[in-house]
Amino acid sequence: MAARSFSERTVEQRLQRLEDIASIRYLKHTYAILMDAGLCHENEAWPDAPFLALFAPDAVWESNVHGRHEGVAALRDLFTGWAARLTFAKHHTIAPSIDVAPSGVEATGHWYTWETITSGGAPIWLAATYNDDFVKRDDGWRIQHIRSNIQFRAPYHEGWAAEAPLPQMGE
Amino acid sequence: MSLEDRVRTLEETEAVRRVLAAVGATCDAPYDAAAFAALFAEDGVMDLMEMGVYTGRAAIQEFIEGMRTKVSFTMHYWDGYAIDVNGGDATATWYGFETPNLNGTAHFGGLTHDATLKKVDDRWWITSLGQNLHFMSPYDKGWVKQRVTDQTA
Amino acid sequence: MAQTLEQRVLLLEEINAIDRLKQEYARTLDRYDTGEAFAALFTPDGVLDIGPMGRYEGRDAIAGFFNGVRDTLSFFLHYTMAHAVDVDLEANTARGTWYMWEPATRNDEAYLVAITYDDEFRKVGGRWLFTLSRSTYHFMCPYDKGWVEQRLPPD
Repeated sequence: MAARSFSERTVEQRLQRLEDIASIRYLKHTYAILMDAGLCHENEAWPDAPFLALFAPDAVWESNVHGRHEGVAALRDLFTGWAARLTFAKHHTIAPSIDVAPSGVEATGHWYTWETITSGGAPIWLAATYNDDFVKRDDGWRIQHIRSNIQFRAPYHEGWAAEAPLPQMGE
Repeated sequence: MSLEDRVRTLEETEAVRRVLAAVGATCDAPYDAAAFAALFAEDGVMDLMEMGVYTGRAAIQEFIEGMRTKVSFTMHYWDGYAIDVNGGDATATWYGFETPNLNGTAHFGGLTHDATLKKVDDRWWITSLGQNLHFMSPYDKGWVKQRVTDQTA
Repeated sequence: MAQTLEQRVLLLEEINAIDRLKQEYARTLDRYDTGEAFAALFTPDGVLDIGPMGRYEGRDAIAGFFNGVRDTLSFFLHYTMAHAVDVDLEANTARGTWYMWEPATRNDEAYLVAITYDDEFRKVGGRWLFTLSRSTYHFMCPYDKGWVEQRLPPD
């Protein structure tokens, strides 16, 4: 489909963009649901399918705290490592701002996330923003790149005043 | 409504959501007062109840710049939108919570918000923005022990 | 499976309408509207399943529950946010899941609540209504303690 200026788009092209936004929003919440089920140890197969199937094969996950991890094998190691320390997590991943490229097969999205996690038996608050890339394949949208900028990761009984904000990627 | 009108309504609902997301983002990290005020119509109104009513971009920007000096860090979590679009007019309500450091002390804020917007020259502008501050509590106390800390003190 | 342009537009509209109904659910609770107003968001045979706080079938039971809730819960804000909604246009039914975050005051004590909703809907006379709202409580903990020390109220 040739890229056209916004005003020249057909109704169908405009509809396709709205559907893509809805699909990506759905995909990101599915990521949160499956991630949390895995970190809560509700799914023995995690992080394997269906969770890792949300990602493109060469997908990247990186944060200002965890470094950069590329490819499904590296992601599997990263997430398995988390499950070794965490027994509970809830990623409240909200406020999506999603842009679909004129090509219709790439998109970016920004979210805020507010997380309640139990790590090493202790309750932790975690606040971050996501700047993610997505790719549309024959079988639908997949996560290409997650960039998580963590603002703070603070023990529940201490709060975040001392730590926030952590140094961000891209600063 | 024609199919195109229905698609346009869906687009505008998303566009309004994006403008409101931008408002919240300008208040993070903390408070880009000029960018915040620029999202308002020239005669836009910000009603913060006990914290005052501010009319026009200059007054809005000045108030937000004042907030900056008291807040060393904050994040604004805005979602739970209910948006109605009717041609070039829109109304919205939503939920917000915040994690500001006020004078070095972490606080939890719980708010609900409302806004009216108008589309002019192919852009949505905020004509009014209001909030109901349910609590703004020191982190170690919570909202029962101390519901509000005066943010302008 | 949506095929025509009109069906594709309708699908997006229905997803928005269902999230809008869920937002109305949250706002009806948070403004402490009447039990009847809350129950009216459900079909007559609708079910409210709130885990440790019980299961209520039919509008009368749902209204009765909500009218009584303020004796225990004098304040709350239901932040009903990230969601995934699936709609069956032909059957006029839908399912949706939301993450919800809730600061609350319970028996004059600050509480934090985290819930996943798994809800079901039917479109009746042009309006979407809940046939089921089911809450899974991840925690409902005293603010002073946190979810590890006391995940759910003992009573």
